[in-house]
Amino acid sequence: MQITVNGKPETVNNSLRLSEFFEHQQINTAAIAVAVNGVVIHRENWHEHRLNHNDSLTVIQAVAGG
Amino acid sequence: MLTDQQALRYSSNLLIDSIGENGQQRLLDSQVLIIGLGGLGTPASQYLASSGVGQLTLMDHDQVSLSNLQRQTLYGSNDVGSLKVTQAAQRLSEINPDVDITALSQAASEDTLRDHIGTSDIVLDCTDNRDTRYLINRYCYWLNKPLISGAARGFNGQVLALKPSADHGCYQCLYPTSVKEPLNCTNAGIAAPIVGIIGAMQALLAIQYLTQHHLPWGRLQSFDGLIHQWQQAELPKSTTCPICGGEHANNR
Ligand SMILES: [Zn+2]
Repeated sequence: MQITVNGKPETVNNSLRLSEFFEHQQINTAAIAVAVNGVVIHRENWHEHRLNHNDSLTVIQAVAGG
Repeated sequence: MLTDQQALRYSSNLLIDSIGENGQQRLLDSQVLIIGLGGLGTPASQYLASSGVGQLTLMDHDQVSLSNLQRQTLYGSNDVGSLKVTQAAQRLSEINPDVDITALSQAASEDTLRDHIGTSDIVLDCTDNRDTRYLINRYCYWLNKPLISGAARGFNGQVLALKPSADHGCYQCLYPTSVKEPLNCTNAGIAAPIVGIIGAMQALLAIQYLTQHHLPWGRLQSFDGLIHQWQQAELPKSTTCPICGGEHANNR
């Protein structure tokens, strides 16, 4: 199925879990927040949240400086 | 009632329908706590002072260093070694003598936050480290005080307006303590205009709140200055959040 990640199209396995997606794409999750279709998915739900066709993922790097 | 001098000074605010004389009077009657007078706090404080926020409380324990001057434009070369809050208070009074400024050369701690969050109308988190951010978030939730959190690194900036009585998530829902950021401002660098943009956004959100406009509460706005794009994400409450989730939800 097709999804977008920060606006870029990606093809991924059907019903992929969010945690599997990060593993698959080798994304370092130590300091990110992620939103699916504009809503933040909390870290504790990454292992159960399944992605759907046409989902739009936003991966946001944590920043704390000022 | 505005004086003739105030009517002139704030004429550009008065000309905006959505501020006007009522809004200006509200700004003059307001108190804002700015925690951190670095890259975010200096632009935020300048816009709030020039707009006529009546009382500004500045909290920062740090001194101006040479490496701050690249982005902390309220300070000059002669300020190096002086306390940030003292120099900032002086500059801001020069910008607008209407503003009553309290300069606290103290670090944000449980005691200082408890004392000063309660008396403010709204709090701006302009600090540079995650531990202080958690503490400010915790005290704003305990004291039910709206919080405008800004942060930046490299070419990235983020801003998030939080209203503890609303049902969106809090700062710690967004970044639980397990989130480990490898780099901060000191060791990762920051493009100066990014803190200017985010600090100005924090001031804008505060002015909107104080003049009774709707804010995008609980919506993270993240700016990538390399590609000039803003991303938005709604932040729900995490049921496991020790600050606002589960049994802690709206529990005051
Ligand atoms: Zn929370």
